[in-house]
Amino acid sequence: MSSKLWNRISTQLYIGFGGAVALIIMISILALFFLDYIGKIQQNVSEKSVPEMTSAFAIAQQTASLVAAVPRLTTVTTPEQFETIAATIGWQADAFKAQLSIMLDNQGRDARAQTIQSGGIGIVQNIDSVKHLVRERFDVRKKILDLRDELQAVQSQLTLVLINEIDDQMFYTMTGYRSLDEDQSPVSVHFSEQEFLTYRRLVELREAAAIAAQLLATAFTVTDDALLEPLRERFEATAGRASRSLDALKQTPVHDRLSSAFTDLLSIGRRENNGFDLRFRELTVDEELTDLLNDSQILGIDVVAQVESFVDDSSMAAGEMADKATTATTTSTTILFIVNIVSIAGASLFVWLLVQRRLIKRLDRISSQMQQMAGGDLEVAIDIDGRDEIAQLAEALDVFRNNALEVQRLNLVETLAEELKGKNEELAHTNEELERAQDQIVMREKLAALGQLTAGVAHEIKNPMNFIMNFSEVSQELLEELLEEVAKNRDGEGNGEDEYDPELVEEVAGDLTGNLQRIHEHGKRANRIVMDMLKMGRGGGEWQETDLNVLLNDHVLLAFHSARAADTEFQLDIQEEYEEDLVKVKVRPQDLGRVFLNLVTNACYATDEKRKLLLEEGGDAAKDYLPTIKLRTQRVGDHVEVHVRDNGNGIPQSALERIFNPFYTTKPPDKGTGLGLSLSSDIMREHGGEIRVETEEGEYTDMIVVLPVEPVILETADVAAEDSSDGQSAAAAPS
Amino acid sequence: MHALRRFSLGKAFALLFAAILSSAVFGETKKSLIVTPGVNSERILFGQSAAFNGPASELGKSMKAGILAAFKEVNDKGGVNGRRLELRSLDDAYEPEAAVTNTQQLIDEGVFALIGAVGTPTSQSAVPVTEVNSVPYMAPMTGAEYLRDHARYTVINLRASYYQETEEMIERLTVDLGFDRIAIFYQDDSFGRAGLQGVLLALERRKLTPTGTGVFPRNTVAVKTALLDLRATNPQAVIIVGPYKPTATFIKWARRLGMDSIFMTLSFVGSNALARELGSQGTGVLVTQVVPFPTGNLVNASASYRDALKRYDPDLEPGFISFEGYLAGRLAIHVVQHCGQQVVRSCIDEALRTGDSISLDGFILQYGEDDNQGSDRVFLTAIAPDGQYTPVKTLTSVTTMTEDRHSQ
Repeated sequence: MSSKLWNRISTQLYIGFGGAVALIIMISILALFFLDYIGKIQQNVSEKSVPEMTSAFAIAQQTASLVAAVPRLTTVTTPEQFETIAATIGWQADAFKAQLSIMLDNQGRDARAQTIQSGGIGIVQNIDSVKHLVRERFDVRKKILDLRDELQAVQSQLTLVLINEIDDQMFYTMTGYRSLDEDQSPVSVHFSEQEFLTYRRLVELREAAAIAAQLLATAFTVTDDALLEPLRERFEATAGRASRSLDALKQTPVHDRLSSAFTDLLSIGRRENNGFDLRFRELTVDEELTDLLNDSQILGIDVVAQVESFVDDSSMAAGEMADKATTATTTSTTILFIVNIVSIAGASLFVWLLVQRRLIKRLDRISSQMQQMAGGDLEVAIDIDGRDEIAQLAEALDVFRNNALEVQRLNLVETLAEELKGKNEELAHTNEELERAQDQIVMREKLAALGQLTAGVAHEIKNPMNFIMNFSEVSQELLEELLEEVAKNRDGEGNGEDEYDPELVEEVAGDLTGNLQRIHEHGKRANRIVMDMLKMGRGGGEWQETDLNVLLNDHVLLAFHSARAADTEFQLDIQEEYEEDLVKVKVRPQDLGRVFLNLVTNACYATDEKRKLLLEEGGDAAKDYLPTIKLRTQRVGDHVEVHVRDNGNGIPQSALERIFNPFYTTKPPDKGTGLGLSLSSDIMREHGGEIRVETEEGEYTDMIVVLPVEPVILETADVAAEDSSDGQSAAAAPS
Repeated sequence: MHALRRFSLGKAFALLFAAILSSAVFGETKKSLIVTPGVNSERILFGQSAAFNGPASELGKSMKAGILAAFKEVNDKGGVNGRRLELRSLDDAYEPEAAVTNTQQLIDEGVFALIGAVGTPTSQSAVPVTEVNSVPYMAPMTGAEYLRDHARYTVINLRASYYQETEEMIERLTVDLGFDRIAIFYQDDSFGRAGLQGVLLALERRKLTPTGTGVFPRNTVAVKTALLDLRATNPQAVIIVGPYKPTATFIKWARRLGMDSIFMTLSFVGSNALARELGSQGTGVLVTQVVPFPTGNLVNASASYRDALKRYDPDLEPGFISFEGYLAGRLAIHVVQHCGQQVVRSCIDEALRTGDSISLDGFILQYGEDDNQGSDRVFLTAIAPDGQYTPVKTLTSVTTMTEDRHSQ
């Protein structure tokens, strides 16, 4: 809240969104405005032009169909067909009238609409007239047909009568016979002017009847009404002639038979609705129908022309409207396009300025710094400037970072302490294990050495024991011999040879004594060996002032015997160059003795190996070769050196570096553990000394044990005191 | 085993065949019952359009009576295959227009065939109608050559043609009597012209021409003017081609005027009616017939006819026209019998045109592939003084008869 309202991102975002909303509203209003404008134009078209055109088209169509339908009315052949078609056309006309009135309602003021209206009404009226006329024509035709039938009947009757009358009259005039029943009349009577005239009248009547019928028949078929009057005129003339002839026959019975038939015939051409009148009416109706058809056609053409002009206008109006709509659409599209561009540019600028630069970029930075912090780097610097929410966030983060840093440091110390403790414990544990292992290894080495020694000891003991056994057997025999002599003496009997001999007893007793003395000496010797053994195995761990020459000699012998015990062919020449009055050194004799034993044993092995090698090679070298160990002790300054030098096959340079490594050995597995030199080296380190090696492969190896005259004693003082007393006794022991 | 199987197979096939056959027969029978007009399980209907009013009514009535006699005769015997034969007759008054209308009406109503029409103009108008509908047109009472054309496939003629009748007349006149002056009086229509044509052809064959010709309008008796014309040519014989009324009128006036010519007329005249009309004036008038003498015994058919007439129409005197009608009826019966159960129109041709001759109780009919006329026989008869017809062998006797009349 400390920063100004304007600097806050929320304010800026609100302003941005507000701007966007304002733009959208503006675009919408613009679009609505244009849509409304275009809609009005289209409404104008659809409410005005389209219905106008639709109704105009409908009128044109109906006009055409009505005008086309009218001839159908006139061409039908039966009244039934006519009524069917008339009904159909009636519906069409009604629909047409309805359409016209609709148009008049919509376009009442338009002069063309008036024209169309009047034309359409004219057509409808024409149709009514046509219907009326066609009905009349049917009526007239029916009457004409009836008249024809009547004519035919009258004519055939008249003809029949006339034929017979003429035949009779002719026959009578010629023969004088009227009928078969009557007698023949005199010639003066029947062959008279009077009879001939009668015959002539009858013939005239027949002709007149035929002509009248013919004229009427012609009248029924004539197609030009102008020809009807001449026909009528001739019919009248014929009728006049017939009447005259008929009048002339008034006195004869024939007259009665003919007059009525003639009256019927003539009335067909004379009476009301006579043949001529009917035919005339039919032709007139035809003409009127033709006129009406033409009229309808003209009206129809007129109406259609008006409709076309109407449609043209409407379509022009619609075209104008469409142009307006197009213009409006183009304008609106352009404006909306520009507004859109501006909006997009504004939005882009807004995004770039505020969101990208002020928001995202800085948030990214804070984010990456926070990630760095999360990764553990609390030293990272928070460098966000500004006075907005992000800056506040950065400040808060910085505070948090400092706190975290503090906490981390405290935690680190604690952790290190903890770790150290654990490691220490671990080390102690390891150390313990190591010591235990070392003890085990040492024990193994001790046991191995003991095994080697045991062989030597057994040999050493076996020798005196042999002597003891041999002397004791001999002594037993001597004792038995002595006892026999003693028994001879006690029995008293004696003879030559078996006579008790005191000299012999003395001799035997002297031998016995000598034997017992030897048994004693060898027993002592065995005892001493065992004592030595016990001495070696016991109390080795104490520091003692020790005569190194004695210690060396003891162990050389032990080693030599061990080797001899393992291999009876083994030979060794031991040369001793001990320094007289060598200073006694305070050591742990058991350990050091083990070192010497080890070194000598190695030397024995090396010489034996060389001997075997030479034997295998054959030749004189084997016979010439004498395994030799040269033992030398000497004081050099404040050190004492003990040399164990053999003339074995030496140590190769490659192995030289590793001979002190534990478990390194060149011997077969059953002969060595690989720990001898390693332990020896350790023992020497404990004594503050070392083992040096001088060697030449195939020639010699000189192992040099270097001991300080004033030993570095790591043990406690009382132990050292005890050791020193033991050392004195050990040193006193013979070697 | 093998034989048994074959037997079974054979039996099976036989059964199968029988089934198919029976179903086919059944189907066909059923179909014919439905399809053929005028035929059902109980009756077969024939139609007739003839003159029952007007100057030629006698002809129509006689034809109808003869046909009905034949039909009743067979119906009383149980019909043909159980079906009765019936006749529906309509009056055309010898007018061609009415004949056309009637024929169409009968066909529309459904008749198996048309039979016993009367007159040449009527038949000539009706036959095209039957051809449109393929309805048989049996035994029309006319000898018009038009109907003998084998292209008229619906027509089955029973009688000899007018040409054959006129030929017989001219033959007798020229051979028996040696006449060469022969006039013709004919009705001014197709019938009359047919007769005229036959006479002219017969004369031409003998290198003769008629001494004169006279015409009278149809359905009138205005014959006297023509009589005057013919009398002027003084013919030895006048051959009249017309119905009985004008013919009788003509003969009576001719005799009244003292003409001693021999008058001969065609069968169509209506022999009985003519004799009745002429009365005492009839003696010696010669009429050619196309059927045997109905009261004679030339063929058994005559006796059958007389029996039938006596039984079914006892009031009617036996006559040539009703005999022709009876024979027409018998022909129809023969055809229907031949059809068997399946009475279809096609079996009429099958019955007649196979080449074998047909005997209707001795009256022999012979049709052929291109011959739709059964009988070619023409019988000459004359009216005896007693008004009855008598067969004529030669014309010599007739002249005697006429002379007798004169002497009376």
